[in-house]
Amino acid sequence: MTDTLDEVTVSLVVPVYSGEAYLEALVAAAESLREGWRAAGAPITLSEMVLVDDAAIDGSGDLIDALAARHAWIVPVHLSRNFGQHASTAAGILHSSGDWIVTLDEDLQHPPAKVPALLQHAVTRGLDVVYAQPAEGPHQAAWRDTSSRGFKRVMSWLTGNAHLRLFNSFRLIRGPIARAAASVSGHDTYFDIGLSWFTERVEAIEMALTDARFAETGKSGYTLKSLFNHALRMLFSSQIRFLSLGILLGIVLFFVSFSGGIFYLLRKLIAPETIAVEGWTSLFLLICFSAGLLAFMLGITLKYLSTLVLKAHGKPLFFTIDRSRDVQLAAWFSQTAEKAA
Amino acid sequence: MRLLRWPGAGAPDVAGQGPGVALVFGAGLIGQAVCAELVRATGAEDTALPYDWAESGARMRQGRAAIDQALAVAGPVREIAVLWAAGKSGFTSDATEMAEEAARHEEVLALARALQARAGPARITLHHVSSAGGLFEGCRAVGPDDAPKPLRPYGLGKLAQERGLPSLPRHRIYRATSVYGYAPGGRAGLVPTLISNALTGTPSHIEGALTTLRDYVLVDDVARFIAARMRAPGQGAAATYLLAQFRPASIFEIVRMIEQAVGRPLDLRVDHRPANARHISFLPAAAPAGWRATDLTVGIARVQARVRAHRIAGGARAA
Repeated sequence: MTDTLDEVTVSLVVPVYSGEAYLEALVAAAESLREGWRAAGAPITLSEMVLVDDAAIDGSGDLIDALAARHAWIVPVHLSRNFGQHASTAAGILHSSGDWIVTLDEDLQHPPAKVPALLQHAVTRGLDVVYAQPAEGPHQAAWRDTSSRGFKRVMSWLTGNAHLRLFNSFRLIRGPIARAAASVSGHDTYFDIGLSWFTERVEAIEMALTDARFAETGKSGYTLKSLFNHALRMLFSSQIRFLSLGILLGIVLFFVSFSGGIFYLLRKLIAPETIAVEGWTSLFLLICFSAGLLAFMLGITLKYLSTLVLKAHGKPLFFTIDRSRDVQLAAWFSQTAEKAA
Repeated sequence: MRLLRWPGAGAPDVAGQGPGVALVFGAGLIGQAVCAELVRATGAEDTALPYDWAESGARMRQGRAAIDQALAVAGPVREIAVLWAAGKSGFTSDATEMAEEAARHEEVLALARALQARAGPARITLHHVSSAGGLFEGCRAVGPDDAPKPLRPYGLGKLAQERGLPSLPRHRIYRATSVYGYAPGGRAGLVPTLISNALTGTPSHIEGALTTLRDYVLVDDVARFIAARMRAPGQGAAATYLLAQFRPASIFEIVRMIEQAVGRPLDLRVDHRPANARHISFLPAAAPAGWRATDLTVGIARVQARVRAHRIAGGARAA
């Protein structure tokens, strides 16, 4: 039990799909962090580790129950079917109660020992979300890491979300913001986009991370199909940038055709002999005008529709947050660093 | 106060199958739900008895009469349950209010002791509904071995009530978290209040922060669990059960769920200096055996249907 009056609490959330081979080690690493903070007399407690069984395809479900029976601080959550990583992350977050929540992959790609670094960065800089960025390509395969970066760049441009390039499933999130984002997430909401509806205080820090499963087996948790689905969810959770471009294009076409129309009308009135073939110009201008008007109206309609979709997705009007306790924790980190030095 | 007597469904010596008698103190949300559950599960006869909470002298006489009546209907019954679900206090109750509740609680304990003295071979078990929120206010990730840490008169009073129970040979304590449900005439908690306000477009005043975490548990689940133990209290002189969802929820999330269930937005007025905004959460490891909690979404939809049905019935009556 932790007393919220004195201590800052941290919850770990781990979606599990095929983690049987890693869970014991992951729990041991979390326990080591928990005991380390306790031994150091830190004002932080790792209060719980939520293991979300996303209809795991191996023996993870039973193992989660066995681990929960051994450790009271492990919270087992079993989803009724496979809902995917984002849904299981949201489910885990909604079963947590920490001031801070850290989401991790099941396969030790995200070691719990790195959590203090994320937390220190967050409280020192007053952030709400801190992503871990691999200092080097996490997959240790150039093609895989390059394609991953390229994908994020394209999606960042398309959605106009500057933080998208930082997105990583190893993230530290301020608890109330994580729970609020999870509670408004629908089945098509991209969780990190949902987070950006509640905060702009988002940064990333680099750390050494390796995808142990990929390095060992050459298989990534992401297939081409799942990447495509990710891209779709990112787009549908965002207001797509080219909707605005469509409106702009419509306006430009409208004014070009309107100006051209005036020019050719004056030419017809003042110097009709300069027009070699009659009819084509006006037809072209009419098409241009109509296309511009249609593009503009379609752009407006889609923009309006996307606003409604975002409202349906749960984008809030406002959200309040209390960051006042960060100072106390930042001071503790600072004192600890001084002592270590 | 209510007196219930249910027939045996099987062998009288098999736990939960024998006949039984219950005296229920408290006709609020939990008391009503437990009575309804006993009637549903056993076909119990449910009789209302006078018990004047406002007048001490009358209450003592009525209590003695209730004991006579309970013993009269009990006959060969081996199990007699006395349920205390009459707590009227809340987080903001002061020491005076808690003292008044403690006095009434002590009167019920005295009646239970008097009943035990006259019950012959029958076993009396006192079932006591306590408050997990009051006992663990401000505590998160409360586990099975954690001791209560009350912060204010409400929690201290609830703990004192629990500590008075060993004066009876057998008792069961139910530490329920934030119980939600709908009982016409009963105290309306956060969930039914928000549902009613959403339906009528009335502003809702939130006495906490939107980020405040609490554990909400459906009254049906609580009633089913308590009723089962009233029928078959099991062995041992004492037992304590934590009845929670074991899944914290922020008020923000509850608001969102209610808006979705009702299909209308809520007009919220949030207290900028909330006096009741401390988080409370519980670990599933502390769940008692046999406990099953209804998912929040399902529970809220169920309460919403009850509030609507009551409003429609009220409207029809008014017409």
